[in-house]
Amino acid sequence: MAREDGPELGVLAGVRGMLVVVLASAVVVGVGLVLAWAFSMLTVGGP
Amino acid sequence: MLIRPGPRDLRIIGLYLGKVATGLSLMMFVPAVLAVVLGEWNSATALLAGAGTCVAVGQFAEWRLATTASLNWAHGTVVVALAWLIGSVLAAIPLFLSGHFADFLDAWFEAMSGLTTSGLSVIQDLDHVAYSMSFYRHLTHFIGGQGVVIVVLAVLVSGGGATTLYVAEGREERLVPNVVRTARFIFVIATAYLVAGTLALFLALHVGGLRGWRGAGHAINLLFAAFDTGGFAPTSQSVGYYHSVTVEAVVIVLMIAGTMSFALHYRLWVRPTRDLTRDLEVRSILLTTLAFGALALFGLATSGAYTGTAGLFRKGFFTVLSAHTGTGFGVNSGTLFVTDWGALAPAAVVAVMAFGGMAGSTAGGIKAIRIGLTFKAVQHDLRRVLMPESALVVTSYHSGRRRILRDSTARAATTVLLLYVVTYLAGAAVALAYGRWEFTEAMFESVSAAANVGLSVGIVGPDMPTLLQVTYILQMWLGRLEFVAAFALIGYLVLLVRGRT
Repeated sequence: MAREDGPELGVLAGVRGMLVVVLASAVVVGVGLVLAWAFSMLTVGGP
Repeated sequence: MLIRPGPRDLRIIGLYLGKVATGLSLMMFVPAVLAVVLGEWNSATALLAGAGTCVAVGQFAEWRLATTASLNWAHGTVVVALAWLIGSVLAAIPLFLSGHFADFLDAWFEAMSGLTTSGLSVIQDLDHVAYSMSFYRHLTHFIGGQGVVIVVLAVLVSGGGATTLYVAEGREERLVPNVVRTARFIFVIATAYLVAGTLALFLALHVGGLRGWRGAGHAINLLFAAFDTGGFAPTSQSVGYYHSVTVEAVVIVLMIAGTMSFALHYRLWVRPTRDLTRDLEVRSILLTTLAFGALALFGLATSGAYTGTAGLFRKGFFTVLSAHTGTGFGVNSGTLFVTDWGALAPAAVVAVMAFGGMAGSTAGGIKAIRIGLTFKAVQHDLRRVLMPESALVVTSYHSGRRRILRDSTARAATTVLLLYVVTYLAGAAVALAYGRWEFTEAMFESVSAAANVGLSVGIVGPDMPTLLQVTYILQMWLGRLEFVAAFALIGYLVLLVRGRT
């Protein structure tokens, strides 16, 4: 393949790339849950 | 000396606008076929009328304006600016004929909102729209998200004008040196997420109780709206309609994927590196998400709107993610932002909407890279002040590779940042002039429009004032083009009148 065309994007590469995104999202969700839990502690005993 | 554009220039601009119209006809033809299959004849007629108009415009341009002249930078920029305006008018035709809009301006607003992946909506009786029309409405996110002109590049253009059009549409990154190949790679990535995301949403909806063809229909529409950070939804209650934590989880992944630049996706696909953790833009968006997410949750907890972990996460944090990624999915009524959310949480949501997603993604707003570069520039100036005069201060950042922060880069980032802020304030000023809304509401809606987000406190609706509606249309257009192409169009129009022959 010509150099300017770049490498092919195979199925495995795609699955790997998408898995990284899923993992990154899981980290964001995890941190969000911890934040939500921490701030919910603020309101223990009533707002 | 500034030269007045001649007939030859207008001819080539018209020719390429014709190509865009031809590209848009394909966008209408697919749901038209679906309408015929489903027996939705009103929708089929409306969509075929739109497609026919686009084909007629495209063929007329090919017939009357064919030229061998090549597209220069000015032509390309003007084509892109006009393509989004004229393209949205053409895209509005089927929507208007569907009968779900009070007038053509409403349909144009909806089309511009769809193509710019904003998600603000003035549709009437959304819950009873024919499926093929709903599919078309969501498809505008997919086509607009990839870039209307990108569609033309990938499908219809293979010549020298491609690079000019690509850059003029607000995309600077090239995944590979060949810009047409880049456009096609963007579609490969988008198609992969289309397949995997639709399947994941279908399964999530199945678990949530929405099954069979109905679930599949919702899944593909939600995919268009989530991955392209659009925000339209099949029902008037948006994602809140499903009452499903599984659906919300899948939507979160897709929103995050959608707000990532295609260049970053490409790098993760071809050579998994530590890009995710080193990249300035990734760090910037993570930091603002967590900082402003914490502020929003603190505001919600102290105001008493939501007090449990589940409520704070599923309403508060989800909304922050929806706002920051530029998607605009809602999980509660928009009026609650004003009536129940207190002051701090809506302010945090407005801030993350203003910041936006990553450059080179489908998201709008200032963009995380510019926020990061502005922060780096401030850091650079502080170090220069604090270090000895003879010291050579070098600030670097990682964006694909290690780069040195140059004054021109920092200035470009802060200039665009300032232009966005001015646009946000201008839109809010127009709303405030009506005297019907508070500053917070006016600012919320203005930022949502200009940053192509789609969350609403209720100003946007079928009965909104005409001038404000036109203002939001222009804001969505300006925000999507990141000003350069729009300003170039204005300059070109001035040259048409005042340029030297």
